[in-house]
Amino acid sequence: MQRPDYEFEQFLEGKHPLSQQYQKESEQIPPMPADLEQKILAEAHKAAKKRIPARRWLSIAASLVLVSLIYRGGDWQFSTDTGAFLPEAELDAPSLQAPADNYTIADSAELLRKRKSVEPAEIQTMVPDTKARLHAQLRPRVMSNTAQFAAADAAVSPQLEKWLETECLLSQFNRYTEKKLALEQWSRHWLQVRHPQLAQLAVARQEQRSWRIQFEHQLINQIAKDAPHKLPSGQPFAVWAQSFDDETLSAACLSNGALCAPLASWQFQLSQPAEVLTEEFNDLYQDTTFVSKSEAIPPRASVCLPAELAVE
Amino acid sequence: MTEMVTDEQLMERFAKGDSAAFSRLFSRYKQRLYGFLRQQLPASLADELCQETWESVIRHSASYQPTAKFQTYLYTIARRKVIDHWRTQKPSEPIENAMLYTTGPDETLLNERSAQTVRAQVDSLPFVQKEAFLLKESGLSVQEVADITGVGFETAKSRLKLAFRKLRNSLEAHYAEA
Repeated sequence: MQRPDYEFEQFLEGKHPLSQQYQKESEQIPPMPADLEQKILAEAHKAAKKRIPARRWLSIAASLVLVSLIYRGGDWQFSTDTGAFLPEAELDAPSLQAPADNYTIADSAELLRKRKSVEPAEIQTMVPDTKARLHAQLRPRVMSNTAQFAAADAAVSPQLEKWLETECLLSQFNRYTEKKLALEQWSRHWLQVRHPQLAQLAVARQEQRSWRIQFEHQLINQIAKDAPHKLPSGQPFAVWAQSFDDETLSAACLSNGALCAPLASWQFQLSQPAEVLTEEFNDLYQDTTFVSKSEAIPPRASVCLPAELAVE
Repeated sequence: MTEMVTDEQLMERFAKGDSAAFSRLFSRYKQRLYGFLRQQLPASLADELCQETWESVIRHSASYQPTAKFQTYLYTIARRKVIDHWRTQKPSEPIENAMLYTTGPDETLLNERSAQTVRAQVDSLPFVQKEAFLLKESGLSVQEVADITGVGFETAKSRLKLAFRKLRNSLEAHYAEA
């Protein structure tokens, strides 16, 4: 009585001779005709192509947004409505740690030591656009309107002076950030070319840093509106960013609710100790132009008025 | 180390415009699906329905939701195409009736299978048992057969059991005669 059920179970598992015989006979089924196969694949290819433009448009739009974010940093516009120069800057300065400080891949320490120099020509080949952008950002260009404005009105009132200084500091701040970001982008390209595996692992760190830079940008611009006297005249930016008191932060949070939630995360990131691999990365970059480029970014905001305007 | 990408992931990639993902998916199932249709239909019709099935997958890939296995999705479409075909062949007869009895093997199929004992016997099965058997032999589980044919697990199992018994008995008789 058990035989049929046992056989059936075997059949379900594909172990019964009946199944095996069927599979063997099925091998004689002719393969799908090549022209039919081509037809189906062509159809699929056509359908896929139709979908790509949407994706391409999205990536173009994303690129445009990114480019505008990078370039907007130093651009100011004179608003006829408010009678003020409005900074369009989007990014502010994070801490002055080199990007390398944040890479924490202990296993790669040995790998990192292997390569210690980069030829300038090599950098030119790798990221010409980044370099060009960096040079473009180094050119003084954003304060000309302000300078003309100040020159035209020699007897500026103390309030106007204060306002100009605030705007000037913010402008410096934004330019500093642009340079920092360009440098980070360069270092990322460098890593991708030289140590792709490491670059892949470093992505999470870079994303974290990007988030922090964007958040600090919002926070600092908000503080510049709420409490311009807190701006870091002559102070290192990194020190300044860490010196916000609770009152200043609460005020910024009250003015812009979107800042409240990420504040804790930002403060937590600031409080994190230096990364383990700092030394290795410093070794790696010691002989590269990374250090010299990094040093070219002034760590301090010089006093804006009247020196900055005089330069412009 | 090769990356094991699931069928569902490939479908999602294809939905985003990656035609290479479709090629991979197609190469996984093209022969199995073709065999499934070819077992039930003459060559020209099998070709036609196979093309229609894949075209349907392509057309609806953007709205594909990986709630079920891709394999189940694919065979469900193919089965519908076969049923639609039978429906158009015998519009006056309720499809349920047609499905209860053997559809009768095509003459071409019979000639083809003179030397193929099991496949020839499969053709003589009632439609529902035959499709259950063919789906199972395509590598699907009883539950998947149930899902595709729109019946409960026990019903699918029972159809398979009936198909198995009939095939075994007729093969025993066939070999006894021989």
